[in-house]
Amino acid sequence: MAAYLSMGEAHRRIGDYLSRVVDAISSSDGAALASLFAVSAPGSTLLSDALAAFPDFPRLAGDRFPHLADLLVPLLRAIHSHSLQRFADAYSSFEKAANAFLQEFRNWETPWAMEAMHTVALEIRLLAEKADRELAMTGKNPDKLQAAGSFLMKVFGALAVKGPKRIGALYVTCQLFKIYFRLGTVNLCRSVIRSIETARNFDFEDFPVKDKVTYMYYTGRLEVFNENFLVADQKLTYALMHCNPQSESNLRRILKFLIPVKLSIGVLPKRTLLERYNLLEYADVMTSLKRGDLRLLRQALDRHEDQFLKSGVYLVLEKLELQVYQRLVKKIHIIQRQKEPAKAHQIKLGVVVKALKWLEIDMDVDEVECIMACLIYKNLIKGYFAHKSKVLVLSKQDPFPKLNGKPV
Amino acid sequence: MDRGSSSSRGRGWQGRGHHGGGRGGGGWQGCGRGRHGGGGGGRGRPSPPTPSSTAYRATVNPTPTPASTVDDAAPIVGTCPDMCPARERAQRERLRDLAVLERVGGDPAQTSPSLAVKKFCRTISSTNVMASDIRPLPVLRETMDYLLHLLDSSEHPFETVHDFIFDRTRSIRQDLSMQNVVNHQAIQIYEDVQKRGRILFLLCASTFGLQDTQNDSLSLWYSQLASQVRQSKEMILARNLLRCYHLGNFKRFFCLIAAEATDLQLRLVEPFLNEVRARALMYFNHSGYKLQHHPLEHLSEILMIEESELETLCRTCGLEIRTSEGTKAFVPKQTSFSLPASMPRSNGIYISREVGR
Repeated sequence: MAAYLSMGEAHRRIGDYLSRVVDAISSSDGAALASLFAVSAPGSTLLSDALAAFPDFPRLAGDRFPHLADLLVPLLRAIHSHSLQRFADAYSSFEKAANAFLQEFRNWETPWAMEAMHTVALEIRLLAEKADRELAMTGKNPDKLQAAGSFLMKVFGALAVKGPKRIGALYVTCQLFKIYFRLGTVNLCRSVIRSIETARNFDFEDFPVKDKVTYMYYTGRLEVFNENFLVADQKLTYALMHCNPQSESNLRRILKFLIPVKLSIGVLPKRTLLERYNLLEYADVMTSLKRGDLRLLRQALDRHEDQFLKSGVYLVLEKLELQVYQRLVKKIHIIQRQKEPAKAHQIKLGVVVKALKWLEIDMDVDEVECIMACLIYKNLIKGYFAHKSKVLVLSKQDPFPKLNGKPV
Repeated sequence: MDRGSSSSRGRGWQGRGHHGGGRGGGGWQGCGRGRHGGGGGGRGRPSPPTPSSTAYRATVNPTPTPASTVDDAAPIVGTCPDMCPARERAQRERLRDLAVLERVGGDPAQTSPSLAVKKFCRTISSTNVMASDIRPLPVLRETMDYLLHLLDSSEHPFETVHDFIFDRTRSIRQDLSMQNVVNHQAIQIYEDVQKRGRILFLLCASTFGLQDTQNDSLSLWYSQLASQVRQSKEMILARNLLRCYHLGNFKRFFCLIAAEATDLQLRLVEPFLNEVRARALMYFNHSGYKLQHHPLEHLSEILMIEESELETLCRTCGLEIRTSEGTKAFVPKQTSFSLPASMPRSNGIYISREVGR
């Protein structure tokens, strides 16, 4: 509970804050301005206490700095509402302030205020998330995040121009990605991606590393959704390589998607990697691939089904089943080679049925024949099957080709 | 098809919990556009293309949800009492833009309030639309009811009915979205659609028919499904079918359908069955042994297709059939095989005798 605040003191604090904003603008101090815009950041309550004690603050701001009233008044309202945990109100006010700021920003020739613009972009998303949570809980329609997205598209438009401001565009792009992914409207990412990548104004290399990493992470995830594994591999690997090595949680996020991609192209990470980054949900999947243990794969998929479905990797992992079959048949082949090398390249389908039964998987010989036909077609097995004799005949050379970085 | 008799409020509207999951607009974007099947040729849309886009005012908006740039605009409350706004009805009659299912006595220039259903409009802007064009929630529920009821009729070919239903369901979603309806009832409408097997169709459509499009990611769609829906029998069947398909386990694919699909689900899956069978033929032709012919009888059994129909399918795929000692078979490793661009229509699941599983 704030100690009693005199009107005079409250008045002074508010005036002080406003002066700092105005001074930052007039002296082109982007860093100072940025910190003044961090509405939702936890910090001192000196200002919000003052606003609570001095309800007439809008008039104070409007009288003192009329030329910046459109920015300052809603900004103070946002801070005030946020301190009272009225997030929908805080968002609405902040959006007004943000729009006013964007107008000013457009008029400034140099990109001095980029840091402040980025803070605005971040804050508007964070406030929108809080606002939507609040709205959903009270049974209203949570539409603030979507609105924040629209605002950020405007910001993007202001940055995607010739000149020094364009360097700030990737950060805003990443905020947009976060919004679209949260809302599930990832198809909206396409238009920003197009702007960035068909770059007449942008040279991707010029952007800050942090932004490039985030960008590659999200675009990599999009490729996972669309099952373009080779491109996903490139992007997510880029993100991994350039990510700050201290940032464990970011590394973990990247790996969460990179690992299924790697598995799809036949590359198995070390178990120690999974342990280090707490991604043990993939451990059984990996083991099943190494052992040809179909039952284990299915169990792993069942156990973590919700998690995998939510993150969008379930279908990727499910498709690994073909590789597990390949491994199983290979093991049978190895065993046969030890027992009777001359005939080892002929595998009775009935033997596969038995092996599966041993794994508690009930399949008849027709089903096995279908699957073998598929494995051969997809070049996971070299050979052919003889229908009447119910035999799989393996090629004598390299009957189980490795994926070699190519998806099945 | 008298709308009065089909709308029974009691039908299937059980109370469901509100689950956060996908909101109206967001939850459905990116999900199959319903362009189904490799059979590109010959499947015309039921209604002629809209003569001019100025018929409906617009801003360019490729997604069904309206662009909400005016965040202070209050959502509209619809007042249209019919399944199709009177204005649109009159306009489409004039332009002869009526779907087969909307025509009175087959007349392309005449419809009625009990037959016409509001069309999906790709280019609607929420700022320009009138309340009388939007159907309120109770009307939307009745409209949905009517559309689902159409699935049970056999008066028209399946594709026609499905195309119509799919388009008109999108329009329902659009109306819901514009009214910012995100409560129990809206979700119930979606769930009921899903419960009637549409998921199955969408899954089939997106896997079998849309593998080459970037737009529709099945993974994305899964990630947004509420868990209640994900665990429904229909979803589980659909996912099992997809798994079998990806694995090439055609025998189990058809066994599952025969054993577990409801009549409705079977009808929804029907357009794709021959595509699946053709793929099976492709694998068998590729991987088989050319000195051991593959008897059609065996294939007919595991692919659950009548032998004569199978023979036709083989020929359509460029596979030669040989007869020896009265049994027909095809010889694997024929280079003349190719997946046809236009697939012959399937006659469903055919079981010649008691199948083991």
